[in-house]
Amino acid sequence: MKTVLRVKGLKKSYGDVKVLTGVDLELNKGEIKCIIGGSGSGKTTILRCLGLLDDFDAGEVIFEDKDKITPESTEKEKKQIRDKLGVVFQDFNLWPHKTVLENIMEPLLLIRKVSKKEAKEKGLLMLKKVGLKEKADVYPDFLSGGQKQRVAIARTLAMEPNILLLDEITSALDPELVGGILKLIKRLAREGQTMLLVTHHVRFASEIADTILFIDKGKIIEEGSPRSIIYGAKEARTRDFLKTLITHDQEINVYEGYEDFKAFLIGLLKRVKPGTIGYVLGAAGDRWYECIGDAIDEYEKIRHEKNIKWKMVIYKLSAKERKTLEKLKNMTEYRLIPKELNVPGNINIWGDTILLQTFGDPPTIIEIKNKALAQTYLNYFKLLWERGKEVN
Amino acid sequence: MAYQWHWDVLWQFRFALWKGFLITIALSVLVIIAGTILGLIFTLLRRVNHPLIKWPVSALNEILRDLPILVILIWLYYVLPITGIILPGFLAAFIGLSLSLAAFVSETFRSGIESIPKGQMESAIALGYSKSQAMFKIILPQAFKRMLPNLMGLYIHQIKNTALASVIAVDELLHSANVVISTTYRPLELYTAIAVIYLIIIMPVVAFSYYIEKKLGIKVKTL
Repeated sequence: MKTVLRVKGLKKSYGDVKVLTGVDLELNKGEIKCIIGGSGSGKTTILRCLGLLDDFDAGEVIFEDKDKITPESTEKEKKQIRDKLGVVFQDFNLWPHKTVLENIMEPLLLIRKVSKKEAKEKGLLMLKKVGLKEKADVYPDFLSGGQKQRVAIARTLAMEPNILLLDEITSALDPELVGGILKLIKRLAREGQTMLLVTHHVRFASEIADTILFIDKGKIIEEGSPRSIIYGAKEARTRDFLKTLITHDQEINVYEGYEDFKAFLIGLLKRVKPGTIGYVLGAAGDRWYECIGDAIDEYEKIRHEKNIKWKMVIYKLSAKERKTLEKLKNMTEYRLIPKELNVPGNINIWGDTILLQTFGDPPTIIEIKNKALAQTYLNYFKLLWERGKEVN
Repeated sequence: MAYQWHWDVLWQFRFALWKGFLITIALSVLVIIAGTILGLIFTLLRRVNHPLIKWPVSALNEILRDLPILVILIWLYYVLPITGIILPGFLAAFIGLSLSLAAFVSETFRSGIESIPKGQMESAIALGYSKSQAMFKIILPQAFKRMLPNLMGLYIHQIKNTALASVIAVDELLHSANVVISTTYRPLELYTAIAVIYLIIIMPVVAFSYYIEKKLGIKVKTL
């Protein structure tokens, strides 16, 4: 197998901070490697150095076993190598003053010196490949994040790079937009494109990579097949990193019974930042006050101290809810909605967490931590909020 | 007794005023062109990573920005000849006004360029552009759009500043009026007339600046 990229002892610091402390890696033709690691581990810096966008302090990068780049290399030498590399960035970096098609055509015209006709044909072909042919004449500002990233990939692929470097290409996207990008990258992988990716999307990395590299404190400390890394990492630091990722993705907990109900609600208030707003869809009226019982004084005291707000859409105010409104006037807002829109039990949104509360005997809280889902519920809340009538 | 206006002096000296009008316009156009090009050169030189280029240009830029334009003009016309360089009034005015405009244009270009995210340059470099290709093809077109309103303001200001050239004997509008006044003793008519003429010169430029802002603000081909 032909080695297209060989990195030896790469070091880089910003002032006193050592970002890369000696990175070695090799990439063969047609191979896909993913670098994973926590923030500040140096993974993006590696990619920037290999893309020759940042200088490095020591070490060497050898392209296709012949062109060597060292810290002493001139700009001219680097420019020659950059021609063979493609870099796709986290925040797309499309040129907003040019249409989608022009974004792809211009480097072809200027750098590859192809004819205008050829550039246009190629541009449209690339757009077709990423499924955005109909957006050719649109300006990038009118595209969604996922579409922008697909155009950025098309622009880079049009230059036919020998090595494609992808830097956290899904990080700036909403979760629902990630899918399209991942599909595209998988297709490139099948076509035999040589790629080096930096990502924290472990599942994605495991699906497409031949090899996963784990970087910590500026050094690659573990390397292996996705399976061996995810299920059998040898290094404790790798295992810790994978653990944090998996638990953070989604978490569901159930709290049943009066004691857990009270303890959870008080604990939640203690956990959230001062000034947090809790959004509540529907309400159980006085039954909620029954369930929280004698803990209500503590609950309202914490709300008062930490300025934690309630915003509720509700079809009817109960006597106790009215009392809360009087007591915590600046922190409580209700809006009245038609009865048929009311949510039985209730749904709370606290940041990335959704609480489903049911008020049977005993009461139950289901806690779901999921950013995308919380956002969806919040949007739904806002719709009802706008339709609701204010209560004074 | 009410003042007796004698507007006929304007007709009588129409050729002198016409000449002043043309010189004011010529001086304005030349200053705007030269000041913009020079301003761009200043900006680019200030970005060169070499202390012997970067710092002298920055210092010159700062001095030009800080000095009153009148002082620059008088210095070029009356002080510079001591070195053997004698400039005719028009040339001295052209150089002085262009330099001072360049200094302000350079500041506008600088802030315009700095307002463009770093990633724009980087993506071009990564695609194989040289730094200057990226600057001229990617950064400046975007920056130019952002700074155009500011730039138009500077141009309008500098057109008005051409009146300062009257003190170094350039036959522009104000100076022509002064010459006519010295023979007719009709300052009220002449100063009123040139005020109107200045408005006639400036107002189309102001209108153009509004038009261009509006045109550039909306930039939608298809949705």
